[in-house]
Amino acid sequence: MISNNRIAIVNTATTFDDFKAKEALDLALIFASYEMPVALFFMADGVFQTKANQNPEGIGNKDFIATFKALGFYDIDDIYICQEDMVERMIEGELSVDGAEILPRTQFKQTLNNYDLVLTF
Amino acid sequence: MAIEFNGQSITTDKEGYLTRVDDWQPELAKVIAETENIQLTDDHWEVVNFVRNFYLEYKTSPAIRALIKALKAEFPEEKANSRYLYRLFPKGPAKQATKIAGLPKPARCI
Amino acid sequence: MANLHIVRSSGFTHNKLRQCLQTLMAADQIILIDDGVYNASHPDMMPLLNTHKVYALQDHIQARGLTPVPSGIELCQYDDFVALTIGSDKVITWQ
Repeated sequence: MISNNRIAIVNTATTFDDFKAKEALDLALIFASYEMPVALFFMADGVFQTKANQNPEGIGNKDFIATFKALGFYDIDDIYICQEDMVERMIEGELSVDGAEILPRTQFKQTLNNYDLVLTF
Repeated sequence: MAIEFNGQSITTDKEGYLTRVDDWQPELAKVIAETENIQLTDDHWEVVNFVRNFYLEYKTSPAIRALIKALKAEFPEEKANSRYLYRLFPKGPAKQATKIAGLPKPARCI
Repeated sequence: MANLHIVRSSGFTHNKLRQCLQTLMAADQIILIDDGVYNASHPDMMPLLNTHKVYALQDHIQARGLTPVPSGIELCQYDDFVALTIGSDKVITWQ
């Protein structure tokens, strides 16, 4: 099961779109608990997940966004957000994730291209 | 499944983890600990309270490696290692501590 | 006579917002709910705010951390939503 493949999980969906965001996060935590190197990427509508001050419990959902702040404890330290997609959606200021790198699209895709396994949600 | 406690029936999953995090209270922790054959000491409480606070802040039960890393940020080395935790919770620290703390079982965890 | 358009998906990914705007009549109103509230800051929305009444469900805005909303978007509650529905000739849902 343990391999040296570097895994990228790419979030393209909004926070509540069909549980995709929650499933992507759960998978990242599972890979991490097997000590497999995993990185998180946020692009397109996925960048909406990185907004601070979301309140999933207000509409009867589990607040899984709060788990983003614990990613460091799972050694998930490589987190990238596409800058153009943030600007287009007017996302600025505080984020729901710590230590994320905001990369221009050219760098974002080059970084993504370095991974062995890419899973999109 | 359920635990009878103070005349109330508190629902659990089939492995004995509380269904609702808010049903928990310290007195109930002692009852759950007994079913795990654990006599709660101050050292146990330190870990139980820690995982409960971890859950309340991050909304997830910490798996073992995450638990140790998080403990290291707040406790000295001798209290933040797997040998110490296994001495307190022989059947798996994350598994047993979260159960006693009234939390869901950590995903994919021993 | 006025219709109420309910937009439920993000116009950044889906084409429902665009389709709604293509059928919009002068007196029609729009309400953004679910992922539709992300359209509060969609570029296609901006010119519309001068000509049409646009509402967004407050709970759904807050769940997504989207406050403050651009001026011109009116936040509303569930009972306002119901009143809008009753007060319109037709309700058209874009999802």
